[in-house]
Amino acid sequence: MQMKSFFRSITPAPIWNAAGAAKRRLRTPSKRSFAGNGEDLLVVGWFQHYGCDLSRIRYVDVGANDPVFLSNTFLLYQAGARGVLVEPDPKLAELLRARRPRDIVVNAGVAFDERRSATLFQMTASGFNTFSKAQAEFVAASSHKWHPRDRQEVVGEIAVPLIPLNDIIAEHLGKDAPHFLSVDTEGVDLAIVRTLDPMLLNHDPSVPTLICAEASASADEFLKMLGPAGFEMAARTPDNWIFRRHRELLRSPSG
Amino acid sequence: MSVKSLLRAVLPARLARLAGQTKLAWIARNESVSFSAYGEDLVILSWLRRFGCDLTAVRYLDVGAADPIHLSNTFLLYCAGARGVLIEPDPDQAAALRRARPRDIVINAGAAFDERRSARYFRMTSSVFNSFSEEQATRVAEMSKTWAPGQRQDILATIEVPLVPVNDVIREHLPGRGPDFISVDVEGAELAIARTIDFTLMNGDSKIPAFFCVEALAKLRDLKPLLDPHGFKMIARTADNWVFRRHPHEME
Repeated sequence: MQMKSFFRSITPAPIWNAAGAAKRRLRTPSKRSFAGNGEDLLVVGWFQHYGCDLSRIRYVDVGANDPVFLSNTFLLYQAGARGVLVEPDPKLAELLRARRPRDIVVNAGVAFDERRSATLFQMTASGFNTFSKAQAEFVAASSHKWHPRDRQEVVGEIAVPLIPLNDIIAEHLGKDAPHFLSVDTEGVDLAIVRTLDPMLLNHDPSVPTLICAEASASADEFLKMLGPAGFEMAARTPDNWIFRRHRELLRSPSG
Repeated sequence: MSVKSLLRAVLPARLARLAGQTKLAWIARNESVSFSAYGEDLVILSWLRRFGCDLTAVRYLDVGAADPIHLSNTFLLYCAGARGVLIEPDPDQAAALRRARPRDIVINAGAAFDERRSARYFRMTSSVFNSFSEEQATRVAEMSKTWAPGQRQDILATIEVPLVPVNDVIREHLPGRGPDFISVDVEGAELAIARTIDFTLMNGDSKIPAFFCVEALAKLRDLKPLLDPHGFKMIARTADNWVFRRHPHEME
């Protein structure tokens, strides 16, 4: 940036303007996505479609992991939205706090059963971090067939508190009911969605409500819980389900 | 554009082509880019990647292709090495498609939606509002009187365009395996066109999953009876489109 402003100060303005125009022309009219398979574009698309003010959107990202890379909520953050990021790994939580200052970062896990603390198995690549010993061993074992640079080992075991999802929403978002819930927790996604109280989610009929959950369970199992609350399946990407609720859906379930 | 055309003039043609291809390949490898309205292309590309498909073997049919890049459902696949057939009634846009996408076959015609084989096509100030329906064209022109001055729409010209049945296009230009992906974006006639498509012409026994993307002006209850018998399942409803997918063995 300093280099840029230095060049700007020594080059005549017309040259500088021409360079800027050339750069804009080179840029392809594409949309960036940060999530694994375009999930964030689908979600933002729904908000844009209904003309929502994106800076008023609130989200909860359970298992936020990296602040940008493969994040389901970074595109919304960039557009001015904010919310709560729940991440059990202390190093990642620190990274999230540094990179996303508008968000509230909760350095804990989300409770998926009656336990209120659990052992987090930290893997070589933090994307595989898990609370399940079996899952950690399974990843480590199956990674022996992968490329050597992708091999996974359990590199750490730490005890982290588990907080119920409803408590997190009630405490940190309160009256700002979230419009988007993303759950990416390597296996316990369904268990976490089951603990959710849908009453805590957005009720403003002019804004749709979306849930993105890892496809570790079938849509029917998710819909058993989300269907009665008015949600419909909106998308299936290779890794995730997206469910959507909107007042239109309540009128005509056939869409 | 002038810098680009200057470079093109001084560089050997093969080198210029290579540079263009390298840029497109880079765009496609950078997994997180989308050109279509709400990420439909990225979802489809993600599925093709997940199934480990050879992307250069993928063939598509884009009915109502419009702009070669902006809001195109097939440009991302083109970048990834796939190719196919683009049907576009507007002559200017068809010319732009030929220039920007030399690997594709461009058909300057409309897709037949009834027994007629040619129809009057109303060209508007902004080509996104072009339509085969006089009623739709006059309504847009009427409505736009309240819009910002720069966005006013008028009927610029009425031209006679041939209408070709989608099945004939597939048989002629995509013989053998047929298209793996059909996108239909035609401002109102999508259901009528979807009804004319013979889905058995799409990739029958290959390992590549088949996709069908259609504007959501058509209702799911009307589309389901057409697609269910051929094994298509709805995998996405974006703000503008339905996306359906078929695969011999579902990964659930």
